[in-house]
Amino acid sequence: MKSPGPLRFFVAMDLHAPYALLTLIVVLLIGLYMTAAGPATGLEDAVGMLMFVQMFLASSGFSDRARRGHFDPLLTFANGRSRALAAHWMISSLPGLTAWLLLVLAAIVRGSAGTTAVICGTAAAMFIVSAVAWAAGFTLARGTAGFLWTAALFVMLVRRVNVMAAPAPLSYVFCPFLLMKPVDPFVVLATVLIAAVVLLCVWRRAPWLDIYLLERA
Amino acid sequence: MNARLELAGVTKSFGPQKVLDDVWIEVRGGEAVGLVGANGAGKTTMLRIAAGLVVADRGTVRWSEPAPRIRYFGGEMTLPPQVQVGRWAGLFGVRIDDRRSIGQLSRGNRQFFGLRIVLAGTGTDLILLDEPWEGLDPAGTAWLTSALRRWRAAGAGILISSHRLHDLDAVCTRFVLLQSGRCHPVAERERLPRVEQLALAFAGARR
Repeated sequence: MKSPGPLRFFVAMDLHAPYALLTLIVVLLIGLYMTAAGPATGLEDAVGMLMFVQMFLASSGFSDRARRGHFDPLLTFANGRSRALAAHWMISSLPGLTAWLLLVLAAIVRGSAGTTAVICGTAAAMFIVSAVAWAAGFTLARGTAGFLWTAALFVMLVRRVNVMAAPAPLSYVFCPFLLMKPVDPFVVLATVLIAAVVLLCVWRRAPWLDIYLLERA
Repeated sequence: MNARLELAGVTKSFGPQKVLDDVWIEVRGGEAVGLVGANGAGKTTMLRIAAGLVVADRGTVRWSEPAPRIRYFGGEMTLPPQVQVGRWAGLFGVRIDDRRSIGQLSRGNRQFFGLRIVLAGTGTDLILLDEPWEGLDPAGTAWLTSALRRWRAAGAGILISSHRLHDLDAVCTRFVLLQSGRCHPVAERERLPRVEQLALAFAGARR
């Protein structure tokens, strides 16, 4: 019995629901069409749709499945919890980030004006969604954090709440869609740093996480 | 340190409920320790602390140096049901050509499959098994008993929790009773078979 590498282990674990991956493929195809054949804002619109899907994909839920014992072989081996959690985040975010990369390639091939600035904005937005959705969903069931985040954004939209009333980086963390418009690069950097800190805080808590069994408790 | 595993003064609570209270236990290479106790006595928590999955509130958990490979199996319900049998086995370097998902196997076959993966290969590792005989048919039971004897002879340290006293007796070199979160060695009583000693200790713990 050899010890499995964390990346290989989580690829085998099918972290994403089949319907979520199917939705991603549909959104990617629509996005590719919008980017290649649509108006100049095709990439932003396509990534906007993709970010909603990524909220669900990235919130794949660690503790819930870990406490069913599904990750026991990985966490028992002396791989280091932080490495395992980093791998879990990467595999959780991978489908959405791959789709984003394909959209960006399509935009580059099309030679859209101002693509570099847009690419940076969408890259920051995708990272923030991937990091915050994963961290927020760490102790929840799969997709729950994505659902709650989408619902909160929807409620704020319906009630016409001014998201920008909060300090700029926090507003962008809550609503990363705003990063796809022209934004001060320092604010973008600060927002990305906040998301990275959130991610690191969860990784650093890993050694103290109790993986007790839900079914035997 | 000859001990593969040493739990020293381990205490663990979940909320207001104290599950383990100042537990001391040592598992040496080449010995199999049977852990018995009533349901809810804290056996699963103790094994998961020994595996490094649950963090003790107080006390220390020490493994031998260099750290032994820990082979822990918490039972068939800890296997991911949606993953293919062959794919799961392949993660651990075991070749099994079966495209069914783990959830499609019967309970007994899942248990046997999980044990087969955990006990694949040889070495002087630390083996931690939680109710390993549950759900196994007589052939599976015989295979597990023989596999554990082989591991013990090879120098592995083994800690097993089970209610199946006859099966434990066939493998283990000594026994520990977990009662109210504390460990008590099962006393040797002259002219009594070991299974009856275990049964007496167990009955005493339930009263």
